[in-house]
Amino acid sequence: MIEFDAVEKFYAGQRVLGPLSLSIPQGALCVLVGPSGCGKSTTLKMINALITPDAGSIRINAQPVASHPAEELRRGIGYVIQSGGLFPHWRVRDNIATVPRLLHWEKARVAARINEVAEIAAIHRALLDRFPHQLSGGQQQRVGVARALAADPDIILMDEPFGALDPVTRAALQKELARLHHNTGKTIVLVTHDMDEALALGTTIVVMRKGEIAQSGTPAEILAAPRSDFVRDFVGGADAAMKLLEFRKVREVLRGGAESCDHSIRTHDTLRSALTEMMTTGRSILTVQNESGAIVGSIHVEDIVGASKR
Amino acid sequence: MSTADLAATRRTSRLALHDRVALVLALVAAAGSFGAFLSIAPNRLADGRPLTLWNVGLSQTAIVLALLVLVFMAAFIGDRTWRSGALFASGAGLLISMLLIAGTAAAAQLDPQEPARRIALGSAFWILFSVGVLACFQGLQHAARIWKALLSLALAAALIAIAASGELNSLSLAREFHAQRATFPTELLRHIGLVAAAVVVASFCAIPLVLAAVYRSGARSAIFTTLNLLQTIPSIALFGLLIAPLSFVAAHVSLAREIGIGGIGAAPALIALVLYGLLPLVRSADAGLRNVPANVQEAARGMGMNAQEIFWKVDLPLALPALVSGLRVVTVQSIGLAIVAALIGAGGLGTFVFQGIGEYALDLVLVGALPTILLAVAADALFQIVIANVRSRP
Ligand SMILES: Nc1ncnc2c1ncn2[C@@H]1O[C@H](COP(=O)(O)OP(=O)(O)OP(=O)(O)O)[C@@H](O)[C@H]1O
Ligand SMILES: [Mg+2]
Repeated sequence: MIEFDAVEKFYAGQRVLGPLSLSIPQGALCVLVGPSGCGKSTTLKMINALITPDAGSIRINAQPVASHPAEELRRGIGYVIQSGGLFPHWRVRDNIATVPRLLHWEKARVAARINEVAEIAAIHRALLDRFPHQLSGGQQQRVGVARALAADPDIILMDEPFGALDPVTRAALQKELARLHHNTGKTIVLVTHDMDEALALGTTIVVMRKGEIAQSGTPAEILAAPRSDFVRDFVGGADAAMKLLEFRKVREVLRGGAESCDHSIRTHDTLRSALTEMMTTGRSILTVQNESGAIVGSIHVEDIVGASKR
Repeated sequence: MSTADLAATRRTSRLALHDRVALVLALVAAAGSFGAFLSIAPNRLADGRPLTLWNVGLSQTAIVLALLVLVFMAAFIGDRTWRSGALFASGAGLLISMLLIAGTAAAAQLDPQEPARRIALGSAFWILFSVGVLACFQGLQHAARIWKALLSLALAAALIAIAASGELNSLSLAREFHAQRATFPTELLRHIGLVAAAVVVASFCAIPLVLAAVYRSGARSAIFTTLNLLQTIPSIALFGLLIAPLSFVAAHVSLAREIGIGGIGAAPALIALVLYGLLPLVRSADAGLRNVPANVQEAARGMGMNAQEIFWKVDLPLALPALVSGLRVVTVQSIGLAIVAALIGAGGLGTFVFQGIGEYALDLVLVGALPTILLAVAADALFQIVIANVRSRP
């Protein structure tokens, strides 16, 4: 649990952040999203004390961040820096081993962990003995992620970890991150200015604007009920309705009574795939089956349209 | 014109200039060889009578001419390996033949009737010799590191062997060396010792200055202003300025006197060399440390390194090439500056230079100057090897 309590930050007398209160539950994948300069990185760097707040306090598991020696705190928090920031004079393997070595792990344990994390981040063995400048941008970002994971921290901070990547690589890395989060249950705070990335990854989304929180909630909440024009525009205006269908399930608008129809869909499918199915088959009603294949009802196109409005 | 024709013309017009430096070297050497090859004077003080290369002998002239033609032709060789080989071969040939020709020609000029006769090397010799050195450098430019080292060592060994064989003994330069043989090793060692001490002391003095300049923002401009000011004081003036305060110290502190500190001697020379060495050292180290990318430093902090760990694991290794190149500048600079130290009684190779100037004996000046140049070149080469290794193993 990471809690921000009325946190503020000033530069040259100008307030760039806050007052900001926010709590990120254990195991969340919280995405800070907003336009450039809105204070995402500042917020993130306060969690590992790279930036100290001028007012308010930050607690991790009820312990104030300021009560620990900063170095000790940071060794327990994974950090993926916005611009890569790999150590240019160290090979990939040594970059990954940074924190374990700072923690004085045994040699054998470090070596084993390097291979483990390399596998998780999909870094090919052959790359481990290269220097960072011998890697592509995407490979460097994977190494940055692997370095953050190395000491198996409970909290991982990621500042635009997939920036400047082509859409295909980006999507692949996003998928890997979602899998990682799902498998480990770590608390991840991720910064991006790309709303689609936020929607694809986040369990909680914090939309920021000019140093303040414009809205926070689950992706579906933000899509369904943007609290201001800014948020509405940021989540994609009219397109938001389509995106929302991704986050709703067939079972939410299911009608009872079996209307027979030769095309069917399952309860746990998204409304978006239901709509796609209707468009490709030319039907406005589909039969709905549950996990075991038994028919449990039907879904109508007007219900999908209705759901996207809410 | 068809493409075949085009290809044909291109093939026939392949005579193209590939190495401008080689061409210039050949032309300079050709022009320079008209001057005096040797200069023969009845004694040490009298002016010399010039002896040109063709006065020395026709076959000797032919050999030099052939080598110069080879340098000239090398400029037009398209293939880099062949061009480099030809350049190095002709340069090395030029160096070796210069020494042998000068040695035998000088021996022929000896005259038992005139025992004080001095046979000095003339402008043509120096120009041709320099062209030989430059041709060798140019030829080795693209060679692999191992070949560079092997070939230059072999060439140096050949030249030293010629000098050691006694082949050159008739030249006045050799005779000056011979006359100074008792003191030369001492002065050479004193020179090297002075430079080494200055570099070591300057490095230690530079450490706190660099740390203050880089990590205490307030001290930076004061440090650089002071060091820049020091650098503008002419060397002779600085040596002079140190005499008064050090004499005072020596007069009033007996311990200082006992360990050899005084207004003249090694102490002021060392202090002056150290003062001159500080600016290049501090400047390069400062640049090296400040050029560590901000995101790399942020990553280091973010991973949980403390200030010491960041310095030793990140800042210092990344600044290392800059630090070594600072040492290189200071070493080479000190080797030259240490000449002046002889003026205030610190000894070193400058002793011969100033004695030679005082006695109007150019060859004696060279006894001091030539080893100084060789020392500087050797130190430079050594540091280049170190820097290359520091870079390739980051
Ligand atoms: N060291 C600093 N000095 C002065 N102003 C700063 C400093 N660091 C950040 N700021 C300002 O604080 C604001 C927030 O910066 P921050 O880096 O958090 O933005 P961001 O949301 O991460 O933007 P981006 O998406 O471009 O990375 C910006 O307006 C920035 O100019
Ligand atoms: Mg940022």
